[in-house]
Amino acid sequence: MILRTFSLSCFFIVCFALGKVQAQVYTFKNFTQDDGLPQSYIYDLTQGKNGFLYIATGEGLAVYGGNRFKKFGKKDGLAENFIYSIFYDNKSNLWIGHFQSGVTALQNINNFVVLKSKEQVISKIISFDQDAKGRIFFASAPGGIYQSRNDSIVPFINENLSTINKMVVHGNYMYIATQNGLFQVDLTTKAPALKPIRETEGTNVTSFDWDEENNGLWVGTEAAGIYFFQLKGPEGELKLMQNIKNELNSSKLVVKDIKKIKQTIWVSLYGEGLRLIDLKENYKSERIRTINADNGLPSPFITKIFEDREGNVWLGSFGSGLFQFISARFEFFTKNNGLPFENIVSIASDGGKNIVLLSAKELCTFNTTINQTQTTIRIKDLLPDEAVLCSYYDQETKQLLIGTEKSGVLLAELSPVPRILKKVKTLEGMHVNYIFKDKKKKNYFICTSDGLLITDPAFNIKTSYDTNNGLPHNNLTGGFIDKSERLWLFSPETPLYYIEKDYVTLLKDIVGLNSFKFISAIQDSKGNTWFCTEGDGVYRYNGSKFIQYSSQDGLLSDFGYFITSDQQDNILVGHKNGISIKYHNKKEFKGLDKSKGLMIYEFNQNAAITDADNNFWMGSSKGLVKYDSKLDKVNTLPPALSLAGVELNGERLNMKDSIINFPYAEYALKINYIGISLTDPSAVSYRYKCEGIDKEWRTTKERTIDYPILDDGTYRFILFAENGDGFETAKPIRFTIVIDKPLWKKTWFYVVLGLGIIELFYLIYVFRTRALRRQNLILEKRVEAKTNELQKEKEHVEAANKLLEEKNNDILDSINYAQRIQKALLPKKEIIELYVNSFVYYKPRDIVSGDFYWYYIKNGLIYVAVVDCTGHGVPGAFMSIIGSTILDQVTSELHDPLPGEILNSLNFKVNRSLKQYESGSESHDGMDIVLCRLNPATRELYFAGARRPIYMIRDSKLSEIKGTIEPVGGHVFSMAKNFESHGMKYEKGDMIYLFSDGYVDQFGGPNNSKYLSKNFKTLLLNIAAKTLEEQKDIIDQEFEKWKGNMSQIDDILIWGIRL
Amino acid sequence: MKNSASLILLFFICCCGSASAQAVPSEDEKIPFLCTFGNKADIKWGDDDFVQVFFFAIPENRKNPFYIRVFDPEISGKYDEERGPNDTKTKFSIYGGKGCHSDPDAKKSDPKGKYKSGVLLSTNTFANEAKYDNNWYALGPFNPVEGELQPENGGYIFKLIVEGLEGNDGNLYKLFLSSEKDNSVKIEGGNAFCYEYTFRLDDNKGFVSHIYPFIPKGVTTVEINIFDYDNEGMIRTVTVAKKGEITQSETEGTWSKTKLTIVKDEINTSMDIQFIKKEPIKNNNVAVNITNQYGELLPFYAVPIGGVPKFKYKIGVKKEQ
Repeated sequence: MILRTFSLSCFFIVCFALGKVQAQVYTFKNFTQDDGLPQSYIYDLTQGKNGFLYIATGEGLAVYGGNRFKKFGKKDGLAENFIYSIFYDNKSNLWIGHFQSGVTALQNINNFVVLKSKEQVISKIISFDQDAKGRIFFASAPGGIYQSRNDSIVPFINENLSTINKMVVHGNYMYIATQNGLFQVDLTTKAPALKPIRETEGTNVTSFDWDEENNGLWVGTEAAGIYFFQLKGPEGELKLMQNIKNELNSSKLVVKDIKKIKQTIWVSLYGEGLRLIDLKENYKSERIRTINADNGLPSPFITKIFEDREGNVWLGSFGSGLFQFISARFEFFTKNNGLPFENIVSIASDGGKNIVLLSAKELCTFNTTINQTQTTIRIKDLLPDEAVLCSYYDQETKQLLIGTEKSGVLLAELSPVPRILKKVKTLEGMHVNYIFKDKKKKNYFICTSDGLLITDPAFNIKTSYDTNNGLPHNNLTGGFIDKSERLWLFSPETPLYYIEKDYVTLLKDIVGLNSFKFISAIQDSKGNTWFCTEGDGVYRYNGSKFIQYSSQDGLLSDFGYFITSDQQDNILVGHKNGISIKYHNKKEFKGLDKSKGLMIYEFNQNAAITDADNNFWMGSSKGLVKYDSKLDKVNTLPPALSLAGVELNGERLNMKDSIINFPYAEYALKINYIGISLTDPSAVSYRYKCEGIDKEWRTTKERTIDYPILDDGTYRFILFAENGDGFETAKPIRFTIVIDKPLWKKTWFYVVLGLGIIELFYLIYVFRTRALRRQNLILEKRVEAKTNELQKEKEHVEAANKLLEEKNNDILDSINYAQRIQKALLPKKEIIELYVNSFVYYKPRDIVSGDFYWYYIKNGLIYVAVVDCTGHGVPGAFMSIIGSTILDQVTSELHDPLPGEILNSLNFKVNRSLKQYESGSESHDGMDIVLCRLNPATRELYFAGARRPIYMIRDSKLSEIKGTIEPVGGHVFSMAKNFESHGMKYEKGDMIYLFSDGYVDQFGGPNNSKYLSKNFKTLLLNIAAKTLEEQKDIIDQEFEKWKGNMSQIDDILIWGIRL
Repeated sequence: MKNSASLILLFFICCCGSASAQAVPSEDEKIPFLCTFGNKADIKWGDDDFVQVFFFAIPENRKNPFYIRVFDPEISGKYDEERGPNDTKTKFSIYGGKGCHSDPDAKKSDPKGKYKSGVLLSTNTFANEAKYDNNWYALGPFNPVEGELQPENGGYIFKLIVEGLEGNDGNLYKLFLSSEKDNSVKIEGGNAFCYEYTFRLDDNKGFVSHIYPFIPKGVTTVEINIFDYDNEGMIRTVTVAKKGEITQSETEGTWSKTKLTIVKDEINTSMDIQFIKKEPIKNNNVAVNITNQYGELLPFYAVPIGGVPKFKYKIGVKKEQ
C-alpha cells in the first residue's frame, strides 16, 4: 500500500524556535510566623548536638526539632527578646547574643544565665566562638571583642575596632571581619593584637567561612566581591589565592553571608539572592549558579546560610522567615519559563540529547543538555477536531510516530528541521492509543481501540488481533514485548494477558495477581517485568510468580500512570500526587511528593522516559519535570536522639543517673523523647522495649510512651530511633527504674513474719498448754469430786439393783408358780389322745400365756377350743383362767350346747365377770375363740368362732369357715352379739385346725413381714397328709425358720385334729 | 511630654495619613531639599553643624520590613552645591534600639555628647557617585522591632544621622520612609520628625516654604531660632490664634531669635512658620529650630500634627455705647 504523502506540510506547520533557556527551579520549604516562628527576621542559625535547630529572631529564640517551634524570650529568663546571634559550645552550652542586652547563656536545660558586664550593656552581639582552651569569645558590632569569664563579660581586645561584622576562632587565631578590613589575632600571645590582612584594608569585610579542605578562608565583602585566602606557613599568614567579583553578576555586590557546603560556596548577595560557586580542584570555581526569585528563592535578603548535621541547607531571611532547601533533584519547566505548553501527554526520546514533548495539539523538541525548547510544531491546524494521544520515536529510522484520536498515525521527522511528514494511510481512521516497536523484528505494534495491528517498517499490516481471534478486549491502551518475546497487552478492566506464538494467554486466578487495570510495563536488566496498575499498585513478575507492591510497601499511591526505569534498574512510578521510586538496592518504594520538593505532579498516563544521562523526564498536566535521581541523598546519619523528659505520676524526674530507685507505690510512667532528623522529620520511627513489661520490641512513630501501671520491680527502658532511610541510632536511650518491693514482698519480711508466726504459735502453745494444765487441774478436781459423787451413787444404785433383783426374783418365782397353775388347767395330752388324734403346738411368748386350749366331753360329744385371750404374759394368763373356768361352767350347764350357744353364754359371763357392761368400765379384755363340737357317732362337726376361723383339709383341699367378727368380751358391750354355729359332716381322715393368730402374725422371713394366713394355709396343705407328730415338727421348724432372729410377738397355739 | 499631651499627639499622628506622610521634606512644607554640608564648609553657607538628625516612627503593629530611601545621596550633578573640587562625603547612619530617641542628647540641636545613641543598624557613605545622582538609594531593609519602642511617639523610632564628612560641598537630598525598596510607598501610620531642620529655600521670589512645629501643653512662649536667613525675605507665623505675625531675620552665619507668646488656643496645635522669599537669592540654606520657655526643642513633623494651622476668626458683638 502506498503511503499518501501529505503535501500540505508548509501550510499547516508552524514552526518557531523559542531559544529561551529554561531555568532550574529550586525548591524551598518556608517557615514563617504562621508555622510558629516568633518572627520572620532571622539573624542567626545553629544546631546543637541534640539535633535541635536554634534560630535567632527579633522577637525570641526558636528551637526546632522537626515538629514545631518552641519559643523562648525574656519571660523565660533571657536578657532580651531580640536574639542577634547564637552559639553552641563544645560543652553543649548555648550562648545567646542580644541586640541590646548583652549575653545570656543556657548552661543546662531551662537555666538561662544573664552574663553581667562591668561596662555598659553591650549591644549587638554579632558572633561567638570558642578556642581550644574552651574560652568563649564574642564580638559586639560596635567594635568590641569580649570574653566570658565566670558568668561575667570582660573585654578581650583593647584596641579600637570599627564596626565588626563577624568573628571566628580557628586554631590559634581569631579572625575578625570589620568595616575596615579583615584582622587576624594570635590567641597564643598574652597581649593579643590586631593584625590587618593587607588585601582587605579599607574594605567592608562582611563575612567569611573556613574551608578545612583547602585550609583557607572564604571572605565576603561589600563591593569587593569574594576572596579566598589560604593559610600558609607556621605564622599563620593568609595568602590571597582568588578574588571573584564580576562573575557574581551583581549590581550591588553586598555579601551578607558566605558558607562552604561540600564543594560549593554559597554566597548571599543581600537583596539579590544567592550565588552558588561550584568548585573544581581545590578552590577554583567551575561555575556560578544564581538562585533568586526567578527560580524559587522566596526572598532576596538572605541573612544566614547554615548546613545542619545531615547536610540540609537552611537559609535565614530578613522578613520572610526560614527556608529549608529541599532539593535540586527536580527541575520544573512550565510556560513561565518558556515551555510552549504545559499539558504533556506523551514524551519520546531521540536517544540523544533531545526529547519530544507532545500535548493534545502541539509538539516541541527539547534539548535536555541546555534545557532549551528547540522547535514547536502546532498540530492543531492539521487535526482540528482531534487530539494527539501518544508518540514513539524510532531511533533507527529517525522518525517520530504520533498516534491520534481519529487519524491513525502521523509520521514526523525531527531533523534537520522538525516537521510532520504524512499520515500513514494504512492506519488512517484509527484511534491509536499506544505505539511501540519490536526492535528485533523491526515491526511496529499499534495499539488501537479496535485491536492490535502489527506492521512492517513500511506500515504494511502483517497481523491483526482483536476479539475475533482471541483478544479478550479490543481497546488496547498499552503494550510491551519482554526479552522472551512475549507480547503483553493492556486493556481496561481486563486481566493481564499476553500473546506468545500466536496464542493468547489470559492470566486469571493467578495467586498473587489481583488486578484488572494494567497500565504499563517495563523490564529490568535482571529480567523482572514490572507492571503498574490503576488502583492495585505495582507487580513484579520474575517469570514464575507475581509479587505485589502497594502503598504498604512505600508506594505513594496504588494508582500508577506510568512506570519506567533507568540504567541502574531504579524503578519509577508516576501518580497523580507525585512519584514513587524503588532504588535497585532497596526492597521498598519511596514516595516523593510536594513535601519532598516535587512541586509539579498530576502526571499523565505513559508520559515518561529516561534520557541518555539517566534522568527521568515526566509529563504532567502542569508542565514538564526532570528528575535526577543521582542527586537523591541517602541520609546515612541516624536521628539525634534525646530524652525530653520522664515523668512518674506526673512528676518530672531528674535523669542524671541511669538507675533511679523509688519506694513502693503504684506508678504511671510517661517517657517523652525525640529523634531529630530534619531531612524528613515525619519519617522518624522508634523501636523500644521496656524490660519488665514488654516481651518484644515495639515500634512507633509517636514521641511519647505511656506505661500507666508500674508495680514493684526493675524496668529497663531502651529506645532506638531510625531515620526515613533506615539508619538507626547506634547508642540508644537507656535508663532503669527500680521500684522497691512492698513490705509484704520482701524476704526479710517473710523471715520476720515467719519467725513471728513461729513465735506466735509458740506463745499460743505455751499459753494454751498452761491453760490446759489449769483446766486439767480443775477438771481433775472435778473428776475427783464427780468420781466421789458417782461412787456414792454407784453404791446407791447397787443397793437399789440388789433390791430390784430380789424383787425381780420374787416376781419371777411368782410367775413361774403361775405357770404351773396354768399348766395344770390345760388339758393333758394323754387325756386328749383318748378322744381325738391331734397334736398341740403350744408356744407361749412369755412364761405364762394368754392362749390356752380346752376340751370337754359330754354325752358323747367332744368339745374342743382354742382360745386367744387379750394380752399375753400375766394378764393373758389371768384371762385364760377366767375363760377356761367359764367354758367349763357354761358347757356343763347347757344341754348339749352348740358351739355358738356356748360362746354366747361365755360372752355374757365374761362381760359380767369383768363388769364390762358398766359405764366407765376400764376393762376391755376379751377372747378370740374357735370352738368345735364333734359327734363321732354321727360324724357331725359344729363350729363357732369369735374372730377366729377353722380350717378343714380333706383330700388336699382346704376349707375355711370364718367365725363371727366380734370377740368374746371386749370393749363393746352389745347385747346383740350372737355367735353362730356352723355345722357340717366330716369324714374320716379329715384334718381340722384350730389356731390363734400368733403364728400368722409372726414377723420374719426375707422381708421381715408377717407370716400371713396365706402361707399358713399353704403350709397346712403341705403337711395335712403327714403324721401328727411330723406336722407338729414341721410347724415348729417352719416357725423357727420364719422367725429367724426376730422376737416372738405373740403366744402361739395350733391344735390340729385328725378326724 | 505629659501623658495627656502624648495621647493627643498620638491621636493626631494617627490621623495624619496623607500620601506625603513619610516624605522629608513633605509636600506641605514646600521645601525643595534637605541640606548637609561637608564639615569643611563655611557655616555662612547655611549649615551650622554639618549634621542633620531625623527620626522616623514605624507603627508598632507593622511586621514587614521597611526602607528609608534617600534621593540623590551623593554629592555632584544636578542638585548638589559644589564648592570647588568635589571632595565631600556624606554618611547616612541609621540607629535603632533603646536610647536612639530617648537619650536627651539625641534631641538637641547640636551634635554633641551621645547624640549617636542607640544601636547602629546601618551606615552608608556617599561621595561623588554619578549613579545615585538624581536617583534614589534605599537604606535597609530594617526590622521594625530594631527601633526604640515609644508608643507615645508613634511606635518604633529610628534615627537617621546625616553627617558631612570631609570636603565643603553641600549635599542636597530628600528622604522617604517606604515599605518598598525600589518605590516610594508610604507606610500606613508612619511619620518623620526632627528637632532642627537644615534645608534649601526655593530660589524664586515669592515662594513660600513652611515648617510646622507642634506646640504641646505647658508651652507659654516659643523662640523661633533661624540660622543664616540672609535677609532674603520675611518670616511669618500663622497659628489658630495668630493671623500672621511677621518677623525679620537678617543674620548671616548666625542665629536670629524671635520670641512669641503662646495663647491657650494654640496649645496642642501646630504652628505654620512661613519663609516668604522677597529676594531671588539662590542657594540659600537655613537651619531652624524652636524652643519653649525652658529652652527645650520642639519637634517639627513632616506632616503638621492636626493639619496645617488656619487662623480662626472670632465674630464678636460690639457693646452699644
